[in-house]
Amino acid sequence: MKKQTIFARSVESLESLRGPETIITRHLVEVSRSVGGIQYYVGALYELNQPAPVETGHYYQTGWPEYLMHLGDSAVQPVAQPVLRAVENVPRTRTIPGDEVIIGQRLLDQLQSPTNESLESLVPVQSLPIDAPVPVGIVEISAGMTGQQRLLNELRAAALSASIPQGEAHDNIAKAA
Amino acid sequence: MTILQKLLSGTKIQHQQDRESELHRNLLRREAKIGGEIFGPVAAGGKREFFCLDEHTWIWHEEWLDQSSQRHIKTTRYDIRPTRILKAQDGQTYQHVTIEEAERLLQAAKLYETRIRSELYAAYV
Repeated sequence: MKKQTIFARSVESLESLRGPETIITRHLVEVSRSVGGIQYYVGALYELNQPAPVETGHYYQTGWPEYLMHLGDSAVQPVAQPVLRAVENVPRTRTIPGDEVIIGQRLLDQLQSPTNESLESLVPVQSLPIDAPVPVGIVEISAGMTGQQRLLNELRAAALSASIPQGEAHDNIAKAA
Repeated sequence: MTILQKLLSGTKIQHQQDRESELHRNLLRREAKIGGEIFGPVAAGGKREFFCLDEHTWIWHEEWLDQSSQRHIKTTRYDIRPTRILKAQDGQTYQHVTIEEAERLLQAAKLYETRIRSELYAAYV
């Protein structure tokens, strides 16, 4: 059985995959829980490969996947246990067929095993303090970046929607450009 | 619907998803190549890619040869958040980018969007 068939930019992109079998990780995208008055937040979950291979599109397809969980804006200290407990409560309702199930299950196994050494790599040791000062102007720049990314998504969506229904000829737009 | 029809339907949906994924990867490759060009020439033997991975993430991938022809690779991931921009290099922990780096990143993003709009997506917008 192949190990690498999944192409996941993020857990969000897994949402589009559907199958009859079980599992998934989509809900890990936004896990939030209050522990001792502190709100912990798991921002996103990515599948990455190291080392990065030659071609860009293969960042997520070759090599052994490394799952990287990073904590979002309201993260505070190293929080493996609270995050794990939060993750345990996440409904596993998504369904992903085939090899992806293995990846999803492996991830869940790692997350739910407090003694697993891989936890150190899943939860960064140095989280960012919740009250870290925000540099002046960074909010505007972030908004600008978000705007750019929205435009890019629209471009891609337009190209995909125009290409997918119309056959192989349109698949060449990226290669021919 | 017969079993055969269900199988054929499932295969068609899978095929559609495969094609969409393949096309998306091709688009990202092309974007990454164009993005790598906006920062000027790359030294001989080197390689640079810069692209928007998803709604929150930009990737900078750089390869170069040092004086002893040893190849070096560095991948930087920028994570865009509403109130901060973080970056991680080669799997290291996240750190805040400086305001100067953030400004340069925004400039690059604008150039990137302009370039790929005209060079890659002109027929679709």
